[in-house]
Amino acid sequence: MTGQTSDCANNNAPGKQALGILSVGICASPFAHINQFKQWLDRNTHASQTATAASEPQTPDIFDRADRPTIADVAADALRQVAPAAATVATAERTALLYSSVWGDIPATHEYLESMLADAGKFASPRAFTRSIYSTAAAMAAIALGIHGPCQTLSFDFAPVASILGAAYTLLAADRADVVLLCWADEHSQVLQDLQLLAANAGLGHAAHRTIQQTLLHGAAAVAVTRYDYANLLATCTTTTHPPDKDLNTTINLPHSIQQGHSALRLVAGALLASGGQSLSWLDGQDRATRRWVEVTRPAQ
Amino acid sequence: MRNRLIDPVAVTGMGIVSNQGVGCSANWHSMINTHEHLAPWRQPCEPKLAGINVAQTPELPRPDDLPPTLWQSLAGTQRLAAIAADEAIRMAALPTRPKRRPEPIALFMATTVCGMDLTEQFYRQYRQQRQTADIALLKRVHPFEINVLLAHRHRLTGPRWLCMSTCVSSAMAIGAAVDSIRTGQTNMALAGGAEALCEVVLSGFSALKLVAPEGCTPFAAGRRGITVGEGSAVLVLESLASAAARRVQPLAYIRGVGMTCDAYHITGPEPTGAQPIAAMRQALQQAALRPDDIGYVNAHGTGTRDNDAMEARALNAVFGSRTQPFISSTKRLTGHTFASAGAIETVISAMALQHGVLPANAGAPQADPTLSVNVIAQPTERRVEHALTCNFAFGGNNTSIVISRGTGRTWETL
Repeated sequence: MTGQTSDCANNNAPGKQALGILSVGICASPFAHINQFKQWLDRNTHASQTATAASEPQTPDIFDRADRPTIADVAADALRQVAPAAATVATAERTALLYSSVWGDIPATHEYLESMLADAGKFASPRAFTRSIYSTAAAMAAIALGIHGPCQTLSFDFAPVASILGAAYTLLAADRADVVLLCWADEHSQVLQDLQLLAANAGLGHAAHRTIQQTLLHGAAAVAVTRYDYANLLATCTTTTHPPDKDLNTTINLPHSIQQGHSALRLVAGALLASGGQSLSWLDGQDRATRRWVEVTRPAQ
Repeated sequence: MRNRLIDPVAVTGMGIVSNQGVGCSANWHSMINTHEHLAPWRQPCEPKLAGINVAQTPELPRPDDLPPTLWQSLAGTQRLAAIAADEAIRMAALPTRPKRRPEPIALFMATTVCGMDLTEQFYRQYRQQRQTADIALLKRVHPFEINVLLAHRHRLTGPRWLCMSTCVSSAMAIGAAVDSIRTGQTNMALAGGAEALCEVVLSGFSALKLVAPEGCTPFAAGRRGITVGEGSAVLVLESLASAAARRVQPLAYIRGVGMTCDAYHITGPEPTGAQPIAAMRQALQQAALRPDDIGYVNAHGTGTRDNDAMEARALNAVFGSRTQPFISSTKRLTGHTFASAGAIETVISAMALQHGVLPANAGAPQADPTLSVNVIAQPTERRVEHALTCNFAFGGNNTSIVISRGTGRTWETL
């Protein structure tokens, strides 16, 4: 596909951007691999208005393991699951990576701050400092996967899925890449729980404290996207600034943890369900001036 | 059909804050006189950091619309970004804080330290007494708070994100703005970066043994490391059609942006410079220019042994050792401002093109002869049409931007 400059969108509606999903990956509590997630979805997702509430997964928290993974570890794990499909479409030079984390590696930041402030900073840890940098996880993933295209660590104040899809769309439309790997990673840490408690005790409102109360992914999710007109897609996703056509959608009763969790989980679930002909859409976020919806559907044949 | 992906993008406004001063004019006059303002950090810090020279901005003027209490509660990066964005918007002849704008403007900013200054304050309290630590300090620690402030103050309702890819971040932000304009997603964007001094960064780079306590000497034989700096630069970028419709003369043009990744090491550059070379060539290709069309290179030139050696190899590969353009690193003057370095150096290069004066490779008028880099010993009058900036980052990210001289009026008339 190298050198193609075709428009990624399937129509010219303002604010509408369509992308093709090649594959999805996950390493987020409680799923260590996309196959576990897929099996659980198959068992617990009901395409019906009358479906009963889906059961919640009962497997352990991945961050409770003895060999506790870092944010970089789970990001690399999730990305490894989508890399093979990406490699069928693009070379290392034509593969880009967009990585997003709300808090970065909190344990490393905590460790660095502690080492900096203890003993007048004599033992400030260069390793913790390096790990505490937001983009380190993306760098480690790029090294692990051999990515030579643009490798960006991004932050969004709202619509974390629609916004990163928009950034991916731009890279593809500008012909900087043929595949863009997307990854979201975070973890609920003890420090973060302390902060949330302090915020609640201080009576700080949600609007003022979106940083602390923002929904976190507990682990990492990854999605490989390409141009919407590529032949072998798992699903198509569209971002819009207007509500999608409701008639296109099947109502899907997703388990509570996905409905209420980070919207990257919905994107991954939507891509898996799309192959069965189901569609999923949601309002991904809004600020004072803009609303962003995401819709995941079966790819056009 | 015309390929819009190589269209020049107009720079119609620029704003800058660095230790050279507040605003384009102050920065330019200080820079062409090679004024170095390095000094130990004014803020109390651990004794081992207190003797290190840093590049700190002067006191910032508070914008009228931001009450003193709000201004004081902002993170340093937000204050820097607010000042730089105000200047860029004024220079672009855009209304500064309108109730609404006729069309959406995109916003692509960059930072690495975000609100780390506030986090440090909070964490000191938290260590002492958890329950009484002032949690309100964390209201603005997040990187995206820069975008929230700018978007809400200036009614920027187009696409927006914030890049945190360390030292290439604001160059990537400029690249995103250029790509968004070229692909027709927006007609206008603000792009730039902001980085405020904080103890974590000074201490972290010291722990990595990458800081030159006296000040950096880019490309010098005895180079010892970086000078930690702070600052912000913001550019208003728009399509040629948009600039023409608004009847503003471009100050400069962005003609090409290259972005690649080494995929080699977390902190060190890949020594052959293969991917930085690819980034420079990508930028030149987009600009439809040859290497010998470039008259000035604003190098990344951090002053570390490995970065400068790799960059010299890359420059020699792209330009040849005998036909190199004039090259300088301006990091001895501004300090290494990390995420905002790309935008600051793009603004410096645009000013150099407009004024016909190329800034010196301050701190090291003579380069290490083994590097074969044609550094500018002192500010040099030279009319140049095209410049190239280079930035490289932790994680092996590389960017390069081609800037061409514009026809716009000088900011000094403002």
